[in-house]
Amino acid sequence: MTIPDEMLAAYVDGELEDAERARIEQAIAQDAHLAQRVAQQRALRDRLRGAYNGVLKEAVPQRLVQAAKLGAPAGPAQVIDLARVRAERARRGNAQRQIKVRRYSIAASVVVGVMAGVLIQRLAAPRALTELHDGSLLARGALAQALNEQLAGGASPGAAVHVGLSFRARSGNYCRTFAVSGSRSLVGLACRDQDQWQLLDLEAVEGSSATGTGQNLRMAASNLPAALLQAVNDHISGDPLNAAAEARARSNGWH
Amino acid sequence: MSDASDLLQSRILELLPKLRRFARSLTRNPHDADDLLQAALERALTHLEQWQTDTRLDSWLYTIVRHAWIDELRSRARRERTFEDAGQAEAVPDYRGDASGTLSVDQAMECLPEDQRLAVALVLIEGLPYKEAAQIIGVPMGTLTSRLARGRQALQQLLGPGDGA
Repeated sequence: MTIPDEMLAAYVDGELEDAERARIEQAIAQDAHLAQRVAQQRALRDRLRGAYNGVLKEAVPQRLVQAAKLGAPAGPAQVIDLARVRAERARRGNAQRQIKVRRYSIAASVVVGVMAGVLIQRLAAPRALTELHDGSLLARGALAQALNEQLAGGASPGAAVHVGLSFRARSGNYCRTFAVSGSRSLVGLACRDQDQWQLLDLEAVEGSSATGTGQNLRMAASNLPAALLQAVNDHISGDPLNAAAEARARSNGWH
Repeated sequence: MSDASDLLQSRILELLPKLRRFARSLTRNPHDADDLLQAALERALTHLEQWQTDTRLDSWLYTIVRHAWIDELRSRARRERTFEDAGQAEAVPDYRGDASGTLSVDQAMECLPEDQRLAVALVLIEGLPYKEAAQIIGVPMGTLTSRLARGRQALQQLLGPGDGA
């Protein structure tokens, strides 16, 4: 059987439908040369990833974290101030705290005080919906609570988070879609991972429709934005949970 | 900040390492990569309302990095032309001449035409589905897969067969 390079590449890239994939796998099992071509493709991909994956482990420079802050004063519009960039580079490797102290010349004690204040505020009122942990975004606060406890359509009126569709992923873990309302309404997908809800996807929806989307999700997957629907399709195994199965999963702590 | 923007904020921060990786595979230089990403983030945040429903946030951000990179390449080309006029053209590295299998990945990536490098970066390094990658580059699927195929072929030759035996 002759398999063109592009088909083999699509196989290695995980782009084939189940039937085609099965066909290729069968061919590989019977053809050592083909198996070698696949191995070479995989080796190339692994080598490329290996060369650039180191950056994922590096601490993200503070200037980029600042540039990614919503509501932060916009930098000089789309023009990089080279002097600023160079100065920043000189500081590279210094802790965030030191940069702040230098830049704003705030006495260290004040900084410590402010940081303690922020910390106490966080402990007292855990408003954050997520926490970044080892590169994964984990649900916290009201989001984690809703994912743990809320049944589809069972959100109290005015709740910030509405849980929608629940299903089992191919991994066997439970996943749930949710909607969060705000100035920019968002919908997302969270899946269980070691007793936590990990956010796998987040999409924008138009205006106030997020709440409705959240409530109607279980029965009407067509209400989901296409991109989220794609994420659901990528993970789902079988059908979404019905109300009884959802309630059972909840009482079993989503295990 | 509303709950939604809090969530969006966290998501953007979560994506930063991957965006840095993407920028690095395009620029092949850590400083240029972070400069590029910083410019792209500033651009993204001032145009956040343009993030469309039905577009993955990561795809949208990758697209902005790509646009910022194209702008950077254009201004480099302009600078180079200026230098050429003045007779100071910089030597462009060309590793293509000799032995295969002796190049670093960075050097091999450097040899690829820009369009193939983008396809390789998005699919092979970032691991995006073809559909997303095609959307980010703004080409049909067929164009993406043929660029990817040519990019792969060139890299195999430049880097050697690897340990696939």
